[in-house]
Amino acid sequence: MKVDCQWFSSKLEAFFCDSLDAQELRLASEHLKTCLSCRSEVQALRDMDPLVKRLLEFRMTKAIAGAHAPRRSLGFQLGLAGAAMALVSILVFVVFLPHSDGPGGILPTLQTGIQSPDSPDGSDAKVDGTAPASRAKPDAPGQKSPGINPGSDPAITDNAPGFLVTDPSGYSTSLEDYRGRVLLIGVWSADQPEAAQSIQRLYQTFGSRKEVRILGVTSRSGERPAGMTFPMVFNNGSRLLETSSSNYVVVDKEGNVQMRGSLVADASALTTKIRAKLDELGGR
Amino acid sequence: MAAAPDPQYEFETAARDCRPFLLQIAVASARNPVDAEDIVQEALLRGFRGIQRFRGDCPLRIWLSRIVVRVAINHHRSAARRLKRWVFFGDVEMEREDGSHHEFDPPDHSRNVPREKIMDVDRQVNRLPAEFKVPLMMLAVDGMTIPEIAEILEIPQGTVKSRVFYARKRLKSALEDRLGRSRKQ
Repeated sequence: MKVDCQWFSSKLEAFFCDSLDAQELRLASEHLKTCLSCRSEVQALRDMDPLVKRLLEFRMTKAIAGAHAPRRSLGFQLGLAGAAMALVSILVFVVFLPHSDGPGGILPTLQTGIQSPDSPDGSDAKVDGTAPASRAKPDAPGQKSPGINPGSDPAITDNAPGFLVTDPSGYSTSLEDYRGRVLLIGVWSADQPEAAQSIQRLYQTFGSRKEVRILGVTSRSGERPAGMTFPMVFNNGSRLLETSSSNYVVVDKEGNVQMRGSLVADASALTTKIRAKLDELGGR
Repeated sequence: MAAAPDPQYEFETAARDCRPFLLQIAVASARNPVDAEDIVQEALLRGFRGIQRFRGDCPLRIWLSRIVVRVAINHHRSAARRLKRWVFFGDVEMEREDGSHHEFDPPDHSRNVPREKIMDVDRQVNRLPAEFKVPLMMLAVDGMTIPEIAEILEIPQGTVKSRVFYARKRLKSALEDRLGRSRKQ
């Protein structure tokens, strides 16, 4: 009588557990002599034993060496624990740091179309085509926040950038952020209210133009003057395109200065002059 | 008249004699071999405290081995020890002859078997359920027999054989799967 692989497979456990009777053991042995597949299966299972033996030796080496190895010093362990605690403290500080300067926080809020708490009419600096994450917020919280302890004018050197301003939320913007729009920049200060009023007039006249952006730049971060709704930004140590206070500058869509002038001038003449330039530059 | 034997002295002598054997049992039963010494220590302490419960119906080393297996299985479940192991995960270092220290890296005594394969076998064996893993590993202990394993684990010999068979089968299957996956990659 001969048996097949299926029979042998069903008896494999009994074969290994020595629970086959004499007849079954004889049949299994005869099958193994002729069947390479079953012989390989049995051999593969038996091959596990030397592997496990090697594993036990390997583990014994680790156990003995680990038991007799000197432990690191208490100083090292305390240092490790201290470093871990310092890391956790830094993480907690970064995650739960209170943000007193607007909606920025760690993750900058999308500025376009979102009303800032500093601009009740939602008319603060519109920034076109700029991902919020790429906008730097260089100031430490509370340092240059509007309405909180206005500081002195930053020193502006020859190496300063041409145009770099900070919006009320603390995010810096440059001319690149306005590329593709005609930009009208008016510079004003708290001691020259007529300049701010002039910017406000221009904003009311041209602010609705889709391809025009109007910014009122001041060097000190302070309270918004009453009745002023134009987008207010603060100079962030730049040369402001060489524009001084109470003056304005018109920048074309490529970022080139096209016109300069004084904000303290006849209102209608100024409006006419700027309208012509905006029309010429495609600021509709 | 001869003095009565000191039970404490007798236990200490027996424990010293069978300590290497118990260490092997601990290594075979524990998940982490570094814990083996602690496990043996704790088992001997428990054995010493409970020696009056030893009825003498089996050799003392078998009785102590039972305690070692129980301690080893429960050792890994202890949250406090897991935490200790995690916090001081890198606290083992060795001293060179010149007195300087270096990270502990045990020598490879696995002869013809590559170290990577031994590590792989270690991972797969640790994934086996304890009822399969412990008899399989104990069978590798020097001089250990099926009847002894059955006595230590307090299960029938047939059950030991069956569990060893299924442990081999699962291990073989796991290693073949790993080999197949690495070939595909």
